[in-house]
Amino acid sequence: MKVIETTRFGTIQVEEDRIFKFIQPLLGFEKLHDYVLIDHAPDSPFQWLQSVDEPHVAFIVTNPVNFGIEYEFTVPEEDTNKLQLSDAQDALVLTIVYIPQGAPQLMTANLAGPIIVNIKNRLGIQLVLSESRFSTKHRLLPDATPQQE
Amino acid sequence: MLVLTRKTGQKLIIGDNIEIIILETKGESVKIGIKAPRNITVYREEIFEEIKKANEQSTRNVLIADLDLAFNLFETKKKKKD
Repeated sequence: MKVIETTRFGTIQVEEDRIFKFIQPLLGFEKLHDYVLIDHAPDSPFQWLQSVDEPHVAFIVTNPVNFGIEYEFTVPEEDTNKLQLSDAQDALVLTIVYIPQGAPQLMTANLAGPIIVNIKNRLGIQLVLSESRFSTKHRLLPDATPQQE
Repeated sequence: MLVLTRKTGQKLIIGDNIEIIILETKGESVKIGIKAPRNITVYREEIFEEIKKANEQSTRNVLIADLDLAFNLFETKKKKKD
């Protein structure tokens, strides 16, 4: 068991074999390689990707498919090699969600920088998709309107 | 860094299989064509900067309470559909 200090969830314990190792870390967080996934709530489409080494660094993640968004891309061979990923079924695909404070209806997912983890060996990368159809701020609930007047 | 001058329509060849052509220049903009094998990825430099910024913004001041609200909206949408 590994004890992890977190800002949002206090001290948590996780099995060592649940820790992801990012061999191509999140851009802007190059020093952080180890993360764990924390479930948000039962039936929630969201999870937290919590840094093992930096208590305040945690990202909300989801697979856009949960929101009815078609999301398909090819992982370059260079990256599948890095991940030792030979079967698409072993790939866990997550995108980072941004929720503006006090305006959750405007939340967006970063489709241009997905996180790919090989669930067999738990190696991870943040991939950069150069195609312009992938936005860094794709609305998850495009029809949602502000709750307050 | 190798610096060279090219005219519109002229090409550069990099290695065996990458070809770059200057298509058009207009003021400060240069339109470039790139021919490269499929396994070579071409990135605009800004995309890295954009993703870095998006990452940083996504973890700053993110509250569990906001995520709970987002989850409520998700459930509401799902119920409407059913």
